Amino acid sequence: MSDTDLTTSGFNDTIHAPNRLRICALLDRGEEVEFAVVQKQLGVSASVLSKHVSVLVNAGYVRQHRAVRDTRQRVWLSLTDEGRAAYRAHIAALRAIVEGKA
Amino acid sequence: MEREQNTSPQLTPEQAQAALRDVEQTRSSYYSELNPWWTTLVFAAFLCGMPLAAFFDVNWTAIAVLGGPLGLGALLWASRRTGPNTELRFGALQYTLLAVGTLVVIGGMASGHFLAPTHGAWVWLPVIVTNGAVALGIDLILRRKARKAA
Repeated sequence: MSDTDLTTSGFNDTIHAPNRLRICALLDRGEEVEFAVVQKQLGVSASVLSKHVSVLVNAGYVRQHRAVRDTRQRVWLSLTDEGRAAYRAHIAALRAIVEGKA
Repeated sequence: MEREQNTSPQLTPEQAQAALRDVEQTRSSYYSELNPWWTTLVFAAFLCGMPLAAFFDVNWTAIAVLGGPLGLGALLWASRRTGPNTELRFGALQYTLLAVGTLVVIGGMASGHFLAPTHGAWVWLPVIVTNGAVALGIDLILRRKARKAA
């Protein structure tokens, strides 16, 4: 990664907010993650998670879809291409701050 | 679309580092949930069980034939907890580790099979160690990679 890539221009306040960064980190690992799994990993209530997910969905970073598993309807979350790019740019921006390239 | 993007963040390096650490911890925890430690144990037990059986002059092919499906079943049961479409992405590293690990295990088992009759059962001991190292080594490498923020 060149120095020009390691800039803070990718810093994203929407993603950086508490829990939303962790949501993006979780979703970046796999294609889709169940809402309940994300909730468990973050250790927050469903309503709190819903609020953060809504912000990310409105920003175009996350998509959600409903699927049936074990006869129950569940919600699955995934990063959009834009969301993944924004998350990775944000991580690069954080690294740039840490490395003093800000 | 609401979107906030700053070009001048006010974070200190310490705050940025804390955020990155938080991300790594989250990813590490999630990876551990998808890949509980006992799944690695299943792999290691299976890979070490075969040469161990050969060392004690027990027919290891029985372990291979029975242990394979049993172990696979256990792993599939573990994976169903995560549901559809939560499998991790297989990238170049994962494919490389899988290929190298497979070659090492097959090479070790073949070596043991051909050398044991002439050199004695002790030739299986390094195969046991190597196979165990393959299972644990791959697991450690993937867990370490999983911690990386992006």
